[in-house]
Amino acid sequence: MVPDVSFADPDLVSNIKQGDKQAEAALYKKYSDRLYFLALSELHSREDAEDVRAETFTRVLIALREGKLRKPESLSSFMVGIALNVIRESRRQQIGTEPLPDQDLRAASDPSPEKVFLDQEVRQSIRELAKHLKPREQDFLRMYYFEERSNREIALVLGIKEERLRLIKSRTLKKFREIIRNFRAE
Amino acid sequence: MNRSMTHKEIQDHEVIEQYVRHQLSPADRQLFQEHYFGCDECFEQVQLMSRFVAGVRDGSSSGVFAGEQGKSVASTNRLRTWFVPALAMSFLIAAVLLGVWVLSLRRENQRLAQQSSEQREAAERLRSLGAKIRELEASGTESQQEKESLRAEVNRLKEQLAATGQPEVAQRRTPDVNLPAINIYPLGDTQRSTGSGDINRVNLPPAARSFVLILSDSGGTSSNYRVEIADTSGRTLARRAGLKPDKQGEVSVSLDRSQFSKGRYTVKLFAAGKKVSEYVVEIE
Repeated sequence: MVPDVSFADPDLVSNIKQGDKQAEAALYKKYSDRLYFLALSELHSREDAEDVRAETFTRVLIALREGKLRKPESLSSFMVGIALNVIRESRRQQIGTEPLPDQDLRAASDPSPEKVFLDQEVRQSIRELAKHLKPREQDFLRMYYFEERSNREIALVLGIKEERLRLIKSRTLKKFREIIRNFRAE
Repeated sequence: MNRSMTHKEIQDHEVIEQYVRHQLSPADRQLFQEHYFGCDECFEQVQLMSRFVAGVRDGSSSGVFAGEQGKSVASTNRLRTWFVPALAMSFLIAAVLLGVWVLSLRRENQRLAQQSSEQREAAERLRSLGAKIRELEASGTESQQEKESLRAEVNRLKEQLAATGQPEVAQRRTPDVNLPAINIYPLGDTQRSTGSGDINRVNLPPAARSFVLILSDSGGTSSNYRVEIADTSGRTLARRAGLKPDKQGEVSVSLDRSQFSKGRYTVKLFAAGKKVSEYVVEIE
């Protein structure tokens, strides 16, 4: 049974150095989702993200057990650094070329990288969201996120001020959050 | 961006959205990743934003977010592709047409200026011809050939002026070449142009502005005559001096019709100060 541990990073580092397995489990629980999300947003592949997560945790635990982290308060930065290294190595292995610069970490070859975040719940929420939007608001979302037009151009086409576009964006996102929470509640 | 991102910076600069849309620099991207590793709120928001953006893009491609512009965006883009070039072309055509119009106006001005100059020359020539004709008729030395030549030139000038749209000018400035010329005979002479007795009856056309009296059978042998014309009250209406007789010894005098209304007049011919003959004329 894993205790509900919410140690602060310095405590986790210290305990893992001392061989505390519960601290290691707590570390995994604390950062697993974040590591997976980071890898997913970089590689756009669930399988690859799983691999990166596993490899990253392995390396982090080894380093913590050996007391290699001098600043325990920088644990999150340390983990992100290792994860990004693992991601670069992973892409290097996939492409088989020289190490890529940081800018090319994302899977540029994938035509729809965001689909990894698309599931049935999202699709249903989006359809529900569209019902609550005015035609002009729908136009804005399509032109901004899909056609990737500038605010200025969208304001010109829709005949509204640029300041109003920000309001539309925040309102639609807020509505989407409400809808998707209701789906989960159901 | 700073070495570590603050929550406020992330909110103010819309970092979450930029992260999801891959619009951050690699350094800022890593900074934000390090931030949401330790910030539950930002981690929740970035997950939500990732799903939201993915959903909107999927919905846009499948037509969920058609909106008002969804159907007309394509037409708007088509409009943009042809409207601006069409507008530019129309301005260009208008500029070209304006230039052509200005050029045509200049040419017209030049033509009108030249025409005006030609008219002035023609009118001046008519004036001089008219003066010459009157001089010749007064002297009585003009020949028939000379008359016809002058008449032909006057007619040509009249036609020229009329063609330039100034018939009134041509009319005004043309001397009355085909003017009535009437032989009159002195008192006591048996011959008459018209009428009977000593009275010479003269019937002038209504349009005649002037007329010529040819004093025949004067009996004079001088080379230089003077004529005086008076009405019935004895008032002298016209005088002419330095008149030369023609080969027939006749003296011609050109008179302005406006000075002689219907009525009787006395024409006296003088040579060297003495009356040579006297005529009576009845203008009818």
